Amino acid sequence: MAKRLLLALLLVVAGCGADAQEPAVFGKTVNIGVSPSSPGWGTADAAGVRSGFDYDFSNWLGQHLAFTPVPVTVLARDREIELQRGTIGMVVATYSITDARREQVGFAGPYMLSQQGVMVRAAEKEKYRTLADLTGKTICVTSGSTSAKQLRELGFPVSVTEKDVYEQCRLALRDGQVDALSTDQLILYGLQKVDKETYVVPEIAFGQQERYGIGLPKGDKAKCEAVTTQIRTFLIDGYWDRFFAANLPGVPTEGHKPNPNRLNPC
Amino acid sequence: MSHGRLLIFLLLLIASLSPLLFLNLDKAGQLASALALPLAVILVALPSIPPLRRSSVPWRKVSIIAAVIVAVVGGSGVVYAIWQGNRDIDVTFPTDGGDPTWKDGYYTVLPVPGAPPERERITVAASLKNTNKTGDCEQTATLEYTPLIDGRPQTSTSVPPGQSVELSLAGTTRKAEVKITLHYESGNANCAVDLFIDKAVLHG
Repeated sequence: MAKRLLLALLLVVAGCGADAQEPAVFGKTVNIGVSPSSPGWGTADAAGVRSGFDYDFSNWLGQHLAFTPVPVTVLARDREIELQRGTIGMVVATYSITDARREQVGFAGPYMLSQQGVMVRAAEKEKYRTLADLTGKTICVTSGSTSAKQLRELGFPVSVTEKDVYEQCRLALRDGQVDALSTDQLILYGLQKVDKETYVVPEIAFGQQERYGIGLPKGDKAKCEAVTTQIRTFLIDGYWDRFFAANLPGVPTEGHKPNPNRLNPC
Repeated sequence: MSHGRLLIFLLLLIASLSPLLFLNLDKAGQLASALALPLAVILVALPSIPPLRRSSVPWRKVSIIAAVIVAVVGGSGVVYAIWQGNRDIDVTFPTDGGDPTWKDGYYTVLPVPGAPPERERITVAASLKNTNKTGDCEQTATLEYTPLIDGRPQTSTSVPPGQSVELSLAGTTRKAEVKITLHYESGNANCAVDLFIDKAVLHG
């Protein structure tokens, strides 16, 4: 009799355990929209080996949400349309949460905070101390990013040149076609890692706070909540600090780590 | 009139006077409605009094018809007055015509209609619209609601945009106001937004 009771108890416990497992909100594989080339964040070397904070983070999310991430290169201007088409299941690519984008896609996050910054040729770094020093200069930005909009919201004249990827902007800066490159300061620090002839002006930070989030299909609350829960763990359990130090060595973390208790609602 | 009928008459009269206890008798319409009910009871009871002289007018029938009319009119008036005294009142706030763009730390003071307001509680909800194409501003703010009772600030309640708050206006003798203050975390303080009052309802 006692054995039967024990067996029944074990079955009940096993049943409860099965019910307690969270249902998978993602399929076995998920196409992840990644940046074409952003050193420190998401880039591939000549052999095709990928690296960067976003790359590491998307793999970490895959482990914790039980899916295999498949990186798919997406230009900044195509991120919303590819999410809407369903060709990618999420975007992990220094993707700033904005109210305007939220009308087209969903966001979980933020997992990183930054602000607009400026990169110039290292040989000319003495010329740039304040934002006003950019007056009348030609500044390169990537199409579809928030940088062009932020520059236009500055309120003083600058010429804006748009390229598809940051790498093209960096080369245009080296070649003297543009005077500066503007995007999020954290992306610029990543570019500076691979090009010692460039310089990120630490004193020049402007515009809205850039809050990087995970782009998701609009209205998918279950996925948003699942990812938000994992971002909170990522921030609290030390993974964020570890990945940041590994991919952006020497860059101060101050002001870049979001408050895990103040993540956006889904 | 027998003792039994007299007792019923007195009980009906007392019951019909009860609306006088909870209606606003300063308002003529409500006072008239409240008085109509005891009047109807008296009208019903009148034929029970023996006439002093014979009359060709059928007073009994006339008084019952009159009592029914007065009771219906008065009863309707009382029901309407009770509904009017307890219903939720939608509030619209006058716009001050100032700069519609809000930034971190901006506030407005909204005067609640009525001196004092007709209800003791108000539920308010406000939302934000980003005025720029960049920035994550509409969901990241905190709105702080502070009731001002006769000019004195009371305990504040802070909620995200879009969420409603219920504030007590109890104890107001002259005027009640609601102060709404916009807050952003330090790094996100460059946001510029428009504020919209989605809901403002006075209730008991």
